[in-house]
Amino acid sequence: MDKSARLLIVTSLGVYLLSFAVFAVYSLQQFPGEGILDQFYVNWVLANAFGQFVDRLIPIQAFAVALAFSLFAGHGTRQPRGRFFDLVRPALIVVLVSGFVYTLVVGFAEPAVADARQQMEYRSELARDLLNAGNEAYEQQDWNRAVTEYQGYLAIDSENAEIEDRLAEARRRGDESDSGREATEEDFSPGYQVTEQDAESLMERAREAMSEEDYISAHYWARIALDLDPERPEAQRMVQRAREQMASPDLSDLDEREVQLFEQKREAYTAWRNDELFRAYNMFSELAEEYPRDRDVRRYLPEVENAVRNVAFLTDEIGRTIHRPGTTDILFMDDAEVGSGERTIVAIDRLVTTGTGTYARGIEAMEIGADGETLFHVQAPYGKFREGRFLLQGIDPGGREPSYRPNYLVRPEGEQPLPALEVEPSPQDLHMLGDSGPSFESASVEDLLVMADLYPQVGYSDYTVHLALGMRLLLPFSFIIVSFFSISIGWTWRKRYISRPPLPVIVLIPVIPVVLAVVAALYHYLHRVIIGTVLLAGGFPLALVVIIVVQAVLLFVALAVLAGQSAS
Amino acid sequence: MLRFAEVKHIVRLFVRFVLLLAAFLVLFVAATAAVRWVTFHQLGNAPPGSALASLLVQAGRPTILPAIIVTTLVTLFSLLRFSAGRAFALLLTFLLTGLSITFTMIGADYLEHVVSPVSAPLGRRLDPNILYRADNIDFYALDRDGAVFEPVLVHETGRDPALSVFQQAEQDRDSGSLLFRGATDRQLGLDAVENGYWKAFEAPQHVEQLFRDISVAASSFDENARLDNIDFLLLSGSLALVLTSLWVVVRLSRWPLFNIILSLGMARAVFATFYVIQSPSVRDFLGIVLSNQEMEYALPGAFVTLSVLLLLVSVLLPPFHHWKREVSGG
Repeated sequence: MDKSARLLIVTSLGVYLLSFAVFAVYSLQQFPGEGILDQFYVNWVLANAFGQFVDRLIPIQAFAVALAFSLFAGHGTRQPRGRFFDLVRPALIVVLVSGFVYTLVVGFAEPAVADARQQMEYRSELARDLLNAGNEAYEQQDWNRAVTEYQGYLAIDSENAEIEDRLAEARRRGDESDSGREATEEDFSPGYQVTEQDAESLMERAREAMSEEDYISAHYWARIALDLDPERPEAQRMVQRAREQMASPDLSDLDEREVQLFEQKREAYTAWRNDELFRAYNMFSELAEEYPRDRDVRRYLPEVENAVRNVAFLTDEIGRTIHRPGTTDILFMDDAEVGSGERTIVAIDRLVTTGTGTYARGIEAMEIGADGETLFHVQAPYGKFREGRFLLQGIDPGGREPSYRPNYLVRPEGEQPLPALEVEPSPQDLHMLGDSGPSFESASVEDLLVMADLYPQVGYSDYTVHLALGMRLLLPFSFIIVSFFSISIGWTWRKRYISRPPLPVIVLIPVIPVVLAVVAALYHYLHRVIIGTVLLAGGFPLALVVIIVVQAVLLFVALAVLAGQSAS
Repeated sequence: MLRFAEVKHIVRLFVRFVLLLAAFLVLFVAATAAVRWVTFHQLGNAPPGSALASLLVQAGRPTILPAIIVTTLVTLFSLLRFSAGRAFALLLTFLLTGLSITFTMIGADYLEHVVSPVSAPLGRRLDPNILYRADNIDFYALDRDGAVFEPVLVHETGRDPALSVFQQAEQDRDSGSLLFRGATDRQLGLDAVENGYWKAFEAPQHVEQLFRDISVAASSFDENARLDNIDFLLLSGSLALVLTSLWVVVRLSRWPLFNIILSLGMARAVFATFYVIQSPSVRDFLGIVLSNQEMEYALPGAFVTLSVLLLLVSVLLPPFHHWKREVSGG
């Protein structure tokens, strides 16, 4: 390998290592302490140091290159012969390769490391949350919940012996209290599910149920068959007969308890069929507690619960999830197309996505007309995202009425208040719109492209995203151009000492990267002003053209200055 | 007795200083005015005469000191080529620097009083159908007519309900704020808006600190900039002295790159001194030993002290002709 290339590589690696060490020490001081789990300590410090190192890599590179050609290739060594450009050509190749590596680092590695660091912070916060919930459940002797929460915690912090002990204890006590119960967990699993897709097989089940005088089941299967094939006369007759039998059954052979059960099931089933969903849910839930092994109850409760979940969320889900780490202060326009006249704005205080769904706290939405008249205005304390809408009413498990309902401050006259709010963005998009969403600096290019597409759809200007994209595209050019200039500057003003510089000069060398950091920030800022101006004047395509032209000119000047250097 | 060649050098130094200062002033003023013009999103509109004059004058004062400092540094580096008459050249550099500070500041003061009040202030451009977010108030206007927006959807953190409609909002260019007209008016300073296009033109931390220090330095001269004001002349003279003293740094070592970067660092430190001396904590500290009246001389005192220290360092340096022979072989 040529001397100039070797010199540059060795100097750069030395400066990089030293810089990284400095940032690692700085990150040690920045470590948030109790906010991060001990097991993430080293990785967090390294990830933070890496982020800071990459953020300042251009002045660090300028320092390394200037040092290589100014201090280590200076006077006092044997005078080089030939043209300077020919002598440094291998070093230029090293710079180009470094520039390529830098592009990969800022394009992929840095966002990945930033994401990993955020994950460590997120998982630490989640673990703390699970631990608090587990401890609370433990103290309340809610053993099953304590087991669930501790298991969640140990999935993150698997080496924590103290929590393992508590989990074992909660399990043991939970088993002891469960042994007193007659029913098993299977009691509440669905009896069976509808898998048949053709009306005839459903009718076969209905006939079978009718022959066993199980009129509720007969009605149930016949109704489904009728939904699939509304023209089927047998199904219509079967529904009619089953309904009549349910209304006046022959109960002479049954004891009083069975009569009461049958009446309760019929009432619950009728409520369900009459769209009194919450009442049916409440009745089946109560029946499930009293008659956990009853076939009908086991069959219908899950189905009614599923139907309930389509119009309401279960409040215990909210209680378990809403305090988990999430995105706060989300605000967006739901129909941002200009020209439609009406506008809807949606505000969400907190949004949390877990394995069971996406939950929101503090939802407020308002629609206004072009003249400023409020068309509707709704508030809801909690909501759950389901199929493009937020369910705004919540019901306690087994409850009769929703505990949470949306509060319509304004609603169009004559219209029923809706229990759900339709929104265009997906939960993934919504997480990008909050205060704690990804920052432009740490977002990957892919994320920035997604944001550039999303922002105009939800009322935001795409200007800031395009600016971030432009600045990201600029970085590899800056790296190479600054390196080329540093070679020229370093060589022109190289040291004139025969041996090493005196101690005071060596001691003051760290001043150089500090000053270079300010110069690099100024260089970056000037580019930001230029790109920002062009973006305002002509949009993103023109900005891309200007970036390329300006960088081409700067590259040409840098190479011309290099070519003009004398080797002696 | 100066020889003809030395006189020629001196004359050339004088001319170069004046031309460089003029060039840097024009460059910095133009750049600052352009950034300011773009920050207020007036692209595509040629500024009217009074607005242009106002822009240039407003951009003028903060750029005077950077232009003078860069000019002085370049002049000091050019002195390295002098083989004789350096003492006189240094004296001339000191005088030119001092006179530049004094008269440009007096000129800026005069222009500000004459030109600025004529022009209407610039306001940041807000667009309808854009959701703007700030600390406590977020807003979305449906339409705009000049500086009036109507109607405006507003989201206020900490209020219940958080969403409301204001039939009108007016942009007040004087205060740089937006006034929401409703049952209870609200006012939002546009500096607090987080996603305005103008945020693109806000400098990053290091540059922002530099601009802040430059601004503080410029404002140190903005009161009583008159030839009969001793305090003003003292500050100008002490600043010129410390800038000329950077000559010691310019030839500090036999490593030119190190000298250049250290001089830039020292120039940065001079700006920082303005800010540090005027910070309340330092003033409190100095108040222990200085009276209020003496405190007025803290800044010139700091510059003179720094100059004396640099002069002491110069005693330790090898003679200039030795340095010159080793560095440039001449």
